[in-house]
Amino acid sequence: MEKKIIDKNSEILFTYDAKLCNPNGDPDEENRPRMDWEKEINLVSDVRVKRYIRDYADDQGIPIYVRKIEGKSVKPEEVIKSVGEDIDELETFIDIRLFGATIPIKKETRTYIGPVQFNWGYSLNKVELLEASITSHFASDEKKQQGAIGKDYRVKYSFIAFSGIVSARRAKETRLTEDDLKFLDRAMKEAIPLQATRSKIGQYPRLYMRVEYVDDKTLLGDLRDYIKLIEVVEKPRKIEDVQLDITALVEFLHKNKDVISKIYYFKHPDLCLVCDGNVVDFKDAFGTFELEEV
Amino acid sequence: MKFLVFDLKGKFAHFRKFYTNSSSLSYLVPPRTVIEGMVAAILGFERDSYYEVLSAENLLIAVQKIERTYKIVQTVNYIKATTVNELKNPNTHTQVPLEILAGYNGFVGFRVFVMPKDEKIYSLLRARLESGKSEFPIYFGSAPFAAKTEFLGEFEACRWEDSRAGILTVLDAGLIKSLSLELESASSLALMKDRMPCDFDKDRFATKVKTYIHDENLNPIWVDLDSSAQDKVYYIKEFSGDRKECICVM
Repeated sequence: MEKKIIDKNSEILFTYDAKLCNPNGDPDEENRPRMDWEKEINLVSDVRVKRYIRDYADDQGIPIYVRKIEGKSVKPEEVIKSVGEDIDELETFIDIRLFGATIPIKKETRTYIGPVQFNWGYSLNKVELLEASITSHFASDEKKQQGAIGKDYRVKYSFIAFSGIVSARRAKETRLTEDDLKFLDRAMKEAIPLQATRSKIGQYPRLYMRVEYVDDKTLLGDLRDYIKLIEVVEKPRKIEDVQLDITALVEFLHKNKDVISKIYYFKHPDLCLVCDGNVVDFKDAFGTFELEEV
Repeated sequence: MKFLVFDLKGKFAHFRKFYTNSSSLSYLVPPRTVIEGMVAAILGFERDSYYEVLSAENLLIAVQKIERTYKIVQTVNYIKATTVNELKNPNTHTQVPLEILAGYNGFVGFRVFVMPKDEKIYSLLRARLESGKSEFPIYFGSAPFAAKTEFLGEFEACRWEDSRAGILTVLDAGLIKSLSLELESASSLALMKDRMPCDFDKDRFATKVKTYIHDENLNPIWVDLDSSAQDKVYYIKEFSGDRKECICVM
């Protein structure tokens, strides 16, 4: 069956929160959570989010290109070989269709710029770090009797917002299909809680919106400009301590209703949305748009 | 002659300095080549296909910084390569400090003045800017850092014949005869100087690299201009008032 390559741009707004964990460590800073100290906000790189999506695909047995084999970093050739020689990379690997890749094999290097790009995420609240010493049962040296001591850094609470774009024009080159985007929608909702490791446990997606436009040339810009975090209590530590004000977002999207074809969304039941000072239901706030829950 | 004027805004930016290798440092303002690439993206030119059509000769560009910024350094993973072959067959990775530009008001912003000499390109660009549509997504130097345009309009510009002017935009240092700073205004200046590429050849090698200065506090820079500045400095009434403030093409 012929798969339909996307022909419309989308813009993504994605928020998740992190409680007593490390959303994205900085390898050069003792793996402390990435911070913008000027504003005391937490940062998460685009690569971190793409990794969640890739790992989610991998777990489901969907072949991905950027990965390790049996826990080891390998050359791209090995990844290709593991799924068979003479394959069509674009056909085979969903992550190349989504995020692009540099494929340095078969004599000539090919570069695909991904149709899906995320900007760096940042927390909407000021974030404090928690620092602790941890001990390991493994010694750092054969002669040592005791285990090694390390540092462990976590955010107390971080409500993180990401924005992303989907370019239909670029999708032509990587053959990104509508089914692939449906997969992405699902992954954005499910991947993070499923990838809970020691440092990543305590993170939940709270709101996901993929605003699909009517054509392949429209992008309205970063939707994070139109949301505001209300801190119900000072120094929030959990989802019940915050509310998300979407007044400006509702207004902005309505103003641009003509260029929007559909909104794909997910809203966590524990997130409280506020519009014009009132607590609202997602469906009521965006009811005039064609909605599809992912 | 008319310039198309638009604002560029985005959350973050990274304009890679061409002369660094082990750290990814960022310019404080986008070089001419970055704006050239954005114009190409708006018009839908494929990568590496437009360096001649949109060269400094054919496309006049001036850039004004309109938001105050600061830098964040974050370490990221890059492919470690000491030979060309290792770029093709990466063995290992290396951690590289990446400078990211962020704005005190939550975003990074620049005002761009462009004048494509080719009429077709001019009218196509104008139409695209007006509708806010773009063939390819545009970004601030690096694919994650999406940016958007806000079209301000088309404005009549005339060449500035006087030798003294207040330059609003990034200024080609080669055009300065003397910096004439009055002490009163000088105290609020934070002049920055850097070498930035201006033009590419067909293989994406920088053919022209110039030294530019701008003020990080967003003030115009008052200078006495060299005679070579004659065809580089323009006066646009709407962006100056009566104050003789001009733009300077990069």
